[in-house]
Order: sequence, then structure tokens, then C-alpha cells
Amino acid sequence: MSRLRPLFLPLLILASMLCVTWLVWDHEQQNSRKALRSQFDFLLRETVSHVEQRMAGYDQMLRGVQGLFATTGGMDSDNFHDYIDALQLDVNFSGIQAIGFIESVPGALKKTHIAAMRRRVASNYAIKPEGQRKTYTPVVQVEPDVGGNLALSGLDQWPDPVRRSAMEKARDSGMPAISGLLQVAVESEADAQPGFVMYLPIYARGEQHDNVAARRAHLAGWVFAVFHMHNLMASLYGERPSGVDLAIYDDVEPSPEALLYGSIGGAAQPSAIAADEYLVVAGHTWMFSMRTKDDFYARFGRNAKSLIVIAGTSLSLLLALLAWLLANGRARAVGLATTMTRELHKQIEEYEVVQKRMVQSDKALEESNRKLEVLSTTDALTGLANRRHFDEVLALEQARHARSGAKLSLILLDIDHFKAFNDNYGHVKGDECLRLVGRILSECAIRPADLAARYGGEEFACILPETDNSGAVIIAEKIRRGIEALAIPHKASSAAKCVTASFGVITPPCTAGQPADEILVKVDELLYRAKSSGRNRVEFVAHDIALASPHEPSLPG
Amino acid sequence: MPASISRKTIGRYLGCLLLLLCTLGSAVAAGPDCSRPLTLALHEHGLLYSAETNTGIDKDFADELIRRSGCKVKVNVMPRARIWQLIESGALDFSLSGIADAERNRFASFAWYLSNKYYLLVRKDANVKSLADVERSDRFQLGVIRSFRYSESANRLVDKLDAASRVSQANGLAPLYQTLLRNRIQGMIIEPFDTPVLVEKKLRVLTNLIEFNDPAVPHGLIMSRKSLTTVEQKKWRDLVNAMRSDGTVHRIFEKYFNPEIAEAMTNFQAPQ
Repeated sequence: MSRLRPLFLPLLILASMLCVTWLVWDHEQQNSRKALRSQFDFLLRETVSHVEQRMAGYDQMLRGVQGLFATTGGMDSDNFHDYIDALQLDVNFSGIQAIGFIESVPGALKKTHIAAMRRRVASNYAIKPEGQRKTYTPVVQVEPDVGGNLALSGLDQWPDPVRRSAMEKARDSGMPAISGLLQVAVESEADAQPGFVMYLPIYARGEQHDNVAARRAHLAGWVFAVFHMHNLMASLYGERPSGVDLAIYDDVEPSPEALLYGSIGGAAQPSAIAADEYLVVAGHTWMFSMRTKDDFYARFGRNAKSLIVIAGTSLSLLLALLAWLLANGRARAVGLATTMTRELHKQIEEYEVVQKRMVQSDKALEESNRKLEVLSTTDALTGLANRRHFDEVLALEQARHARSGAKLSLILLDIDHFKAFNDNYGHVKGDECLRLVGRILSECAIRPADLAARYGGEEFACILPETDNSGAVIIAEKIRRGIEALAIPHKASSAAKCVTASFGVITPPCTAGQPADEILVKVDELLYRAKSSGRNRVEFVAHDIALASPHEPSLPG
Repeated sequence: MPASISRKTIGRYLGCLLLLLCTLGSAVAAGPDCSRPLTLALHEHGLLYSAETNTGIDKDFADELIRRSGCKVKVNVMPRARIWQLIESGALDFSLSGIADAERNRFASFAWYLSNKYYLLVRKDANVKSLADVERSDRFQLGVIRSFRYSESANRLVDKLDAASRVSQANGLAPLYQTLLRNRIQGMIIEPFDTPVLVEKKLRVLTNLIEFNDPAVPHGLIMSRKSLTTVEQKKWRDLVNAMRSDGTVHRIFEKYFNPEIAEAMTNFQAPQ
């Protein structure tokens, strides 16, 4: 659980940021849908509006023709021709195939009408189709009078139920009315295209037409305009709606039979936007059906969704990473501090160990130095002071006694016939003999200031500070007897049957700067005299002597 | 004292003349400014106006209003959407039976003369009993007249369905009735003006009415803020109020509705 704790905050931030990204993405998607929907609605509304405006323009145009009849009081082909010519129905109004006038002719006046038309327009004028009807509604003039329009002349519109319905509606309302879908010929019936006819009634001049009965009673005819739907749509101002399929039906339901313009291709995609709008044009209902195509989304769609997903996800990951680094950085810092503390403790422990070892080393070194000092001042075989230490102490004691004026005595002894002892008993016995003699010296020169030393070979010496000559002789004699008491057999000795030693004892006057060698020479002389006097004896001078002329008393062995 | 009598008489005449001039002046000032030809547009909508018969409530109302104003007013018939467009631009001065919303209040001023509720006319086979059913049903397609606004909850329903591409627009009532009969749409919003159509048996047996639970919405003379000054708007509003208070409006409605409905539609507290 504690391992997961540093991940909690980054994961929380990641989840939160991804949620925010999703919300923004969803918001953008909805906005995008709304924008597309608005664009689509705008296209549909604009298209319907363009058609509506154009139809209002045609309405106005036909009212102009209606006005012409109202002002001139009747049909005049030249006036009509000039008027239409003045309208300049060029390509801007290319939807209009023809503008014409239909005269309402009572059945009784048919012949009169035909005769008049043949006189005025064409000698072969006839009302088509033939047959007896109560009223005839032939086209008496059409502009421009070229191409397929020529076939309209004399054509009675009434028998066609589609045309008749619009004509009746216009007649009864006094308003423009358009027919249902018609196949309108351009040059011939073969090239007929979907279209319609707009009718506007013309009433007899000066007669009332404010109700249906009056309108029917005083109807003079209709002005009409024939339209090709395709050309009408092509001549509309403004851009054609792009990215959408548009179909206009002459009904409130889509059907191939009612298709006036365009088409809706293929099956609808699930995401396609589609809508229908119904337009009442001059009393007739058209249905505008519009549906988006794939390129509508490419043209009008916003492409921010991918950007939001990429940017949002990247930002989420970056923030989560940053949070992880911050959270984990603290844990790592704590870990690092713990490691460093542990290592520091370890180093302290190691330092303490080293310090202990150093103390131990110091002690060992001190001990070694002490041992070395002992070794440097001690004779290894006997444990007594060695010659060098003896010389140092003698010089020091001589100087000290010279200052204090106290008596300093010196004993020098030599084991008798020691060479012969070695020869007879071997060196091991010889060394043992030396150790035993040394022990006797140690036992006899017992004061702290006394110094017993192995002077060399089988020679030993004792320095006895603040000791007069008699005291020194006593100690020397004690040593001699001690050696003798050891009873170390020595058959080659001429002095006794055991090991013995000869002694010289001297108590020289100490003066500052006097060489110690002179004292040694004197005592050595006394020793020599003991040797020569039969050995195993102590030679000394009876009183403190001058070093230049020593007295030679001797004690018998 | 002929001279003094003469002066007194002249003074009286002058006083009377001044009083007459003041009365005439205030009478002229009370009426709308007729110095230019004005324009008013009707739209075909049920009993409000039928171009075919050139009759309707709005036509009668317009005739009386024009007569009282003494102005020359050119009356046209055009789609409702175009009327609002022209009112906003100031090219059109008046129209009738308009309802307000925040957007329209920006460019139009109103003089109320009728109030009515809205109803949802639904096909029985659409299986909707309430407004909530309409929102829930994915198949339900609503037909509305472009640019029409209704009562609050009706507007909310239209906007919601429009956002879901479930609204078909038309520029008049007639195609909506046709599409409802042909089941291209399953419902449409109607007003009392449209109820005579329901007399038609074919439609009556096919449909049900659901009432929007909103208060009645006032309708009135629409005046373009761009073409009429505030003072002029007030004068026209006074004319409308006079038509209400003297019972003219009520009488017009009684021509088209039974007395109870006419009373309910014309006897209301007009918003300020």
C-alpha cells in the first residue's frame, strides 16, 4: 500500500485531466454538431429563401403584365411584345421559358375568336385540342415566339387538370397561382424538362372583382409564365448550396413522380443531417428536402476535436508525470537522506573502530618502545643492565655524586676460569651459570638506585650510589658468597670445586668532568689483583683512594 | 361705449379662436403622423387572414385601425419570416398578431389586443399523451412555421426537438396540415385561430389536442422601432387601446368565435 501511495496523486491528476479533456472534447463535439446543424439550417433556409424571393420577383413581373392590361384596357400584341422586350428577360431570369396571355373565350364566341386571331396573328391559328367546350382558354400570345413556344399558340390550357387547377385558383383568389409539376418542352416534346406555370388572372377593366363570384364573372384571361425548374434554380443569386444534396418535390412527400429539381443520392449515412422544409409558393406547396454529403463535414466541420484529444492527453500525461516527479522526488529525497544517514553511521562506526585500533596501536607501539628500551638497556641472558646502560648510569651517577659530594662505589667481578667451565660443561651450562650469577647480583644490589650489570662475557659490575667503600665491600662479599653458595660444579677451576668469582671494589672520589674510564681502569686493576691473588676473593682499597695511586687491601677467599 | 363693447367682443372672438386652435392642435397631436404612406403586412394564418377570401381577424382589425388613424397604409400579404425581417430593417411599419420575445423586443414594439393559449395537435397513432411523451419519442417529428414563437414551454419543446433535427419548417399552416395528414410530421402547434380546420372530419378523427400548461400569450400590433419613433408608437398603441376599450376588438372576434372564446381572447390584462 505504501508503495502505491506516491502513484495516487499522479493517477488522480491523470484521471482528472483525462476527464476534463473528455468534457472539453464532448463540449467541442456538441458545439461542432451545433455549428454543423446551424450551417445546414442556414443553407436550407437560404435556399428556400432564394427560391421564395425569386418567385416573389416573378409574381411582381406578372403583376406588371397584369398592369399593362389594366392600363391599356385589352390585349394588344404589339404592346405585349414591347412590354416583354422591355423586361429584358435575359439569363438573369433564364428560368422563364415563356410569358404569354391566355384569353378566356366563351364557347359561343369560339369562331369569332379564331377569326380575329387568324386576322391578327396567323392564318392557321386554331384552338388545340379541338372539341366543344363551354369555355376555351387558348394561349393567344407568347413571348418569345420561337422554338417550342410556338407550339403554345392556340393551346387550350383548361383540359389539362394540372394547369386548370392553378388557373382556377388564380381566377378565384385574384392572386398568382402556380401549377403542379409539368414536363415543359424547350424545343420539342422530346427535350421536355420538369417545370411549372404561374398564372395571374386578368379581369375586365372597370369591373368589380372583390369576391369569387365577381372574379369568375369578369375574368378576361390570364397572364402566365412557363418555367424550367432547373434553369430557375441555376439563375438564383448567391452560391449554390455545397456539400449537400437538395431535392424539390411538388408535393409534401418525396416521390420520383413529384421530383421537380435535384435528387437525394444513395442511402443516408447515420451521421447525415437531413431536413425537410415546406414552401407555399403562389398557393402551391413545394417540399425542399436537403441532406448532407460526406464533403459537407470536410467543408464546414471544425477540426478541433483531434487537437483537443492530442493536446489534452499530452497535457494530462505531462501533469501526471510532473506530479509523480514531485511526489516521488520527496520520497527519493527521504530515501537518499536515510541511505546517507546509514552510511554516515557506518562511517562513524568504522572511524570508531579505526580510532580504537589506533589507540591499541599506540599502546602496542608504546609497549614496543618500552620493550625496545628495556632491550636496549638490558642484557638478554641475565636480565641485568647491559654494558651501554651501565656506562650511561655510571656517567650520570659520577656527575651527580660530584655535585653532591656523596660516596659512589663500584664493584667489578669476573667468574673464575669461565672459559674452562664452558669448555667442560658447554655453552648451555655456561649461559645457565651466567644467569645464576646475574640472579645473585640482583638479589644483593637491591636498593632502587643500585644498578647490577653484565659488563661483558663473564664480567659483571654493580654501581652503588651513596655507598662508601666498606658498604660496597660487604655487598661484594655477599655476592661472592652467594655465588659460591650456588655450588655450581667447576672441576677445571683452580680456585675451588665450584664456580667462584673474583671482585674488585672501588669508591673513587667524584669530580666534575672526570672520565668514567679511569674509574673502570682502577677497578679492573683491583679485579686483576684478586685474580692474581688466588681468585674467589674481593680486592679493594681500604679508604677512598685517589685514582692515580690506589691502595691495594685484599680479603682472603 | 360702442368702442369698448367692440373691443370686448373682439377679445371674446379672439379667445374662442385661440381655444379652437388649441383644441385642434391637441387633436392633431393626439393622432399618428400620417405625413408619409405607411406599410402593414398580413400573413395567411387560419382565421387571422385568408388571401383566398381576403378576410380574417387581422384584416378587419387592420381596416379599422387604418380608418381610425386617417393615414394611408399600404397592406401586403407575405410570409411571417419575411415580415419579421422587414420589421427589423424598418422597411415595414406594422404587422398584426405578433408575440414578443427578448430578440423581437429589440427591434419591435407591441400594442396588445388579444391573448390566447397554444395547443399541440398530435396524431393519435403517434401514441403521445403528454409533452413528455413527445420528447421521449424518437420518431416524433414536429411541424412549425418558420420564425413563429409560441408560449414558454412550447418554445422549449420546439428548441429541444430542433436541436435533435426533429422539426420540419414551413412558411404556412397549409403544408403542415397536409404533412400531418400524410404522417410526415406527427404534431404541430396550433392556436384558436386554427381550430376551424379541425372541423374537417378527416383531421379531427386522426388527431388529439394537448394543451401547453402556460398562461395565455398576448398578441398585438407589431411596430417597427426603426421606422416609428417612441412617440408615434405610443399614438398607435393608444389607438389600439381605444379599439379595445370601446369594444371594437371584441366585436371583431365575435365574428369569428363564439362569445365565450371571444371574451377569453380579448378580455385580458395587457402587459405594460
